[in-house]
Amino acid sequence: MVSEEQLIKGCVRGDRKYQKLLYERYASAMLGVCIRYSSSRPEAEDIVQEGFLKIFLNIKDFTGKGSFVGWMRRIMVNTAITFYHKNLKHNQLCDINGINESDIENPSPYEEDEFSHEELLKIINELPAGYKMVFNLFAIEGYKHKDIAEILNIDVNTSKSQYSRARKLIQKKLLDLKNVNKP
Amino acid sequence: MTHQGEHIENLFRKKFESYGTEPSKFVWENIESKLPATQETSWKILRRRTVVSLLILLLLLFIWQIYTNYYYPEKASLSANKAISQKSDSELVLEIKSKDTVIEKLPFSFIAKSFKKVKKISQNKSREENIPVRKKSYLNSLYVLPVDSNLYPDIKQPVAAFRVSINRGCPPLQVNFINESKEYRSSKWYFGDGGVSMEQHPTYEYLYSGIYIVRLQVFGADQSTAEMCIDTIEVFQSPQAIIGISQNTKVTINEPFVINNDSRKAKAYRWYFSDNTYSPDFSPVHVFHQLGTFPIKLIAYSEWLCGDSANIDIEVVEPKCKIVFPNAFFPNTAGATKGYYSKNDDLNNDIFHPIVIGCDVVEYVLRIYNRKGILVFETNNIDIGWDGYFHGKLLPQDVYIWKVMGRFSNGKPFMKSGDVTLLHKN
Repeated sequence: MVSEEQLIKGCVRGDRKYQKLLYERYASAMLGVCIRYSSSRPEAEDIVQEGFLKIFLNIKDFTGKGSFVGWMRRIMVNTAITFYHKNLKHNQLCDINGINESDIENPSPYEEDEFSHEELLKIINELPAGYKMVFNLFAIEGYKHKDIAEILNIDVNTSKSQYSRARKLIQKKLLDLKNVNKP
Repeated sequence: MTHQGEHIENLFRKKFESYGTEPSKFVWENIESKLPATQETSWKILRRRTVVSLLILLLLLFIWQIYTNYYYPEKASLSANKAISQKSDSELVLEIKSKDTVIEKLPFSFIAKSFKKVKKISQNKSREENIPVRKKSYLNSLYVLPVDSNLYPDIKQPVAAFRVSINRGCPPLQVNFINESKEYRSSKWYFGDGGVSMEQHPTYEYLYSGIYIVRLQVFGADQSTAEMCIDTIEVFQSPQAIIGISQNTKVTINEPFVINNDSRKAKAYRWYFSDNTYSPDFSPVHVFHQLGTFPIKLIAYSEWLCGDSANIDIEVVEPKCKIVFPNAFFPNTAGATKGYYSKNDDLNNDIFHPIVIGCDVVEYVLRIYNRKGILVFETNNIDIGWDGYFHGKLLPQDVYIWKVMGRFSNGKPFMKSGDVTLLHKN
């Protein structure tokens, strides 16, 4: 098996063989990242495509500090954000009415096995585009609200409020799912 | 606010930290198509190309060898024999006994090494006057090295040369090409505008402006070629003479007529009229004194004095007859004037009378009425106008109606009516 280091070196040289190897090794993981940021699978694949092109063109700038996968993920996330900005005018922003905070009880910790990836993805994808970005960046990627605000070009408080609303929405949906899943 | 635990975050983080899903196949294809060609591959292509071109080169060399060995051995040896019989100093014909029984013949000096070798031998050999000439043998071979082209009197290199009768001018430019090439059997001319000729001394006509590169290719007896170029056939831009009036325009006799000029790319003009007069003006004014149809010719010249001409026929016709009346006049307040007026000097405008243009009036009746319809003036004499008086009294300021009937000298009748304002001078 070709080591990561060899892979990177090959890609820096621009060797097509190594580029393909790198793609084959990481494409699925990267799509797993991108799919959370996009409304559909084809869009996610577009993001992966753009992201990999960026990776191949800029791989010589990868300093070797930190994890290579993390670096690639960051590129993917940035690409996804670019897409989000580009498509902002196409995305219909629907307001979420009817979230009554009192509806949501304090749930017990969720078990990982309780939900499938598909179910969770569906929940994320059903979020309005702005919420989805904030939730992804904060909850999964672990960005700070300050950074998110900067990246998405929104106010810090917007980021925070959107996050809390997204969170509530998700919570509600998880509860619904749980009830459905329960016999 | 670690409220309600970080349940959701933990769930999603764990679930998606290492989540992966296979993208469709064409994603890589798309990426590959957009990636720039790698150095690796371009180097490979280069290497492959070099190998291919080398192979082709070798093949060509091989074919040439075979060609020169098997198609012209007689010619080469013949000329060599001839050369030897002439015993010229500049000739180098060497006979070498080959160790092998294979024919080895080098046409011309294409390998420097063997050239040197042969030269060395030739210095020794040239002292010997009589070199035995042998017929072509399969045991012996001839090395023939032409030092001077005189060695092959019948296979001289062609030399291309030609001159032209003219190398700049106006279109259509006819150029005679004089072939001065030497040692050629046939020639091919490329005239630079797509025209080609196989004639020895062709004549070619350039119809359009431009700078043309003429190329002559001559073919020698042994298929060798020579070329010569000349790039100074310049055909100037031709002007376009356009007369700005349409064919058979009707012009009134004895009236000045302006002839418009729509010519293009021209700098100077000359107009020729049927009465043997001409004008250098851009847009001349001409008076026709005769009835009939007459030609007009315009020649426009460019700055290179290239000319273009245009012709047009003009029909000179009788003038149209017209009778017109003024719409106001100031009667003489001092008293009636009987209405006589002068046709040429009428600046007072105290008599109301018509102006006749183009011809004379032979029949004429003018009647003038006031608003109530009462006839205030009547005459059948064109030379008498209305002085503004009726029964010896000056009529008040008002608008009066006139009506005129009659016939022009050309026979055409006329009938007109209108109004005129009578004004009092203060």
